[in-house]
Amino acid sequence: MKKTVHSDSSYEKERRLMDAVTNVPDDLISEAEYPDFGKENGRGKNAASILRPAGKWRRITAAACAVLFLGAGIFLAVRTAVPPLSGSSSAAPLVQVSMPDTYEFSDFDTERSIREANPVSEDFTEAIRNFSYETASALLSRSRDNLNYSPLSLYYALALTASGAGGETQEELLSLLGMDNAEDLSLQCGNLYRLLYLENEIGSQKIASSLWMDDSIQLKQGFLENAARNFYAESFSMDLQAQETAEAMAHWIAGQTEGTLTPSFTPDSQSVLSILNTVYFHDEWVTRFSESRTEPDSFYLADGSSVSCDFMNQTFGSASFSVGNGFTRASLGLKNGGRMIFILPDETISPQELAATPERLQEAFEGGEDYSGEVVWQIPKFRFSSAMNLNEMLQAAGIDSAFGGDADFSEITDYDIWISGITQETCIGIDEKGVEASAFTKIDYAGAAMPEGRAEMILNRPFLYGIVSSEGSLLFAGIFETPA
Amino acid sequence: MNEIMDDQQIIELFWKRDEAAISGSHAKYGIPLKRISFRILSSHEDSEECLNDTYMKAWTSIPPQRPGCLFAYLGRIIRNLSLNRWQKNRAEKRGGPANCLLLSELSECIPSPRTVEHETDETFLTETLVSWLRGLPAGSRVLFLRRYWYGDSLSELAEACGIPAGRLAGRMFRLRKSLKIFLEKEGITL
Repeated sequence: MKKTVHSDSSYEKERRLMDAVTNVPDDLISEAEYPDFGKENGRGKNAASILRPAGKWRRITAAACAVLFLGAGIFLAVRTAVPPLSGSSSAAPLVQVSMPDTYEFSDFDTERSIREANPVSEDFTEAIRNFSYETASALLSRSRDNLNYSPLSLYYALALTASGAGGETQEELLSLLGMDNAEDLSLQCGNLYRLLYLENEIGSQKIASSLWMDDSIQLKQGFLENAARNFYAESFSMDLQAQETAEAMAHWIAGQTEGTLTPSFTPDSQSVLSILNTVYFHDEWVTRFSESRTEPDSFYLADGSSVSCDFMNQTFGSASFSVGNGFTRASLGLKNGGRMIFILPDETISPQELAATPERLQEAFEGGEDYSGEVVWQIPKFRFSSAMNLNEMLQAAGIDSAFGGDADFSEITDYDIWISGITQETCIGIDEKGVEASAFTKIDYAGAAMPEGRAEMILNRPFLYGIVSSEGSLLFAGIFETPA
Repeated sequence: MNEIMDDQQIIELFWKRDEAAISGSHAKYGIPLKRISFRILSSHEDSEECLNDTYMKAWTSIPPQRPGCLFAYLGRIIRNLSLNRWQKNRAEKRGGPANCLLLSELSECIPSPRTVEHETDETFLTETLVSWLRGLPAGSRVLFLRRYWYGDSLSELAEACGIPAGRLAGRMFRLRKSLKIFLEKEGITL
């Protein structure tokens, strides 16, 4: 739990940092000067033109473009069969991908050896965390409806893109992804991939990527091999203008997400490359909710009206919870070691306010004072899908050149390509299913801490939630506004 | 006299002990200097006093100093005076803001304490900061210095970048985290 607390005597460290800023050399201060004074000191570009370069949105409508599509699905405790799809059998990958080892629910030795063989650096973990809060804050703070977002899915799609970028395009992507170079980024993504990859009798946690290139262009072998090695991405060379290719892509997504996402694609005559990424997550509550205790009650919407929906009910006699500035937070354990976090804003505060800045959102997910005591849960059963276009958010976050004619994807192909759109579709559902806690589960509420208080997680008004893997990665973050 | 002199002319006047150096400095840099101070102190009266003290400090230090960039020289003086004033006001509970937003934000850049505790010396800290700044794309470097050297508000910066203020906050957040990681990698302890 990381918090910044200022005592009366503090600010000494900040002052030292501020003094270091004060003492930066003249040329850096001049570079940041606006041109309304001191023009004669031999500056090159002025600060205003550096901050907002002219003409960066040109040439969007040229002949070639890359489409990046992201799909993410989470589906807790209920599976749906993959629906049969036609016209998809002709897709054969160019580079064969062998999926990483996975292990049985109780196979701790294999789990440990996978962990040891795939070290993930603290810098990388921190980079993903920063990216997650920054992008989730931008999306959740503006949402007026239910929204489910997978920062990890977007991170992987952008990291794969960065591995094929050069120059300023790559710099911008790396800057947003918080890493210094694309090679490290790929290696770390590979390690985390192998750590997260999970499919056992209890649940699944799978990231999948695929590259779909038009058969009129050639992609560089190095890019394809790195995509297969570190991102486990299959590559397909097909006619992207053909209906059967669109169906094959839809089928690939449905297959990766156990049928929870069944998008429909229409062939795009300008598209030469599509990168698809999915995250599928399925797990069971450590302690199931009793179906007999599920009953309808009122959910109060942000506009003051109310609707009726089914609520799951459960009380833990001694569990941990946190209380912070404007929120109460508690989480429910999942059998494979992850957890689902619920953040209930105080009645005078909206979930959007808690997500207003990356810092505020991080505080809501990680900050506050910790307590243990009785936690009373009342959670609406829900299932919904989200589809969002992420272009605007990413452009605001500094990804400029990838979307324009200046894009440099020279490590992917010698053709001039750029990204025309990034979208993400997700599906989430929760219900009572799950089995009783077994001996293998780690569960905090059975500990020795004396109850200090009581929390009522009565989620009958808009709230925030997130799903965190056992590694600590924020797989999903969302806002629940309405059961309707 | 309202004519804007170039820096060399003003510095020559300081060296000749001609008080026109003060009015020349004020005519050229008075507004941006006061702005830097105001962003720290949030008080017109206090920042006006700091501005006058800045000219006095410059008067007593040039000569022997001969600044390469007069604005940067005066800017450093007024930043130091304003931060001192803010800390003094706060210690004496003389009103004014209890928090300095710029300092609060920089607290996110402070590296986590290391096992062997010894403070990094000021020169190395500045050198490390400069090396981080020089490694950034120009846009990010200018953004950081506009915020933490010039004290521009987030809304001013958002306008300069052409993006909404809420989203600019995200870029600043990323920059601060990146600085923190860099300082930690370089073994800086504050």
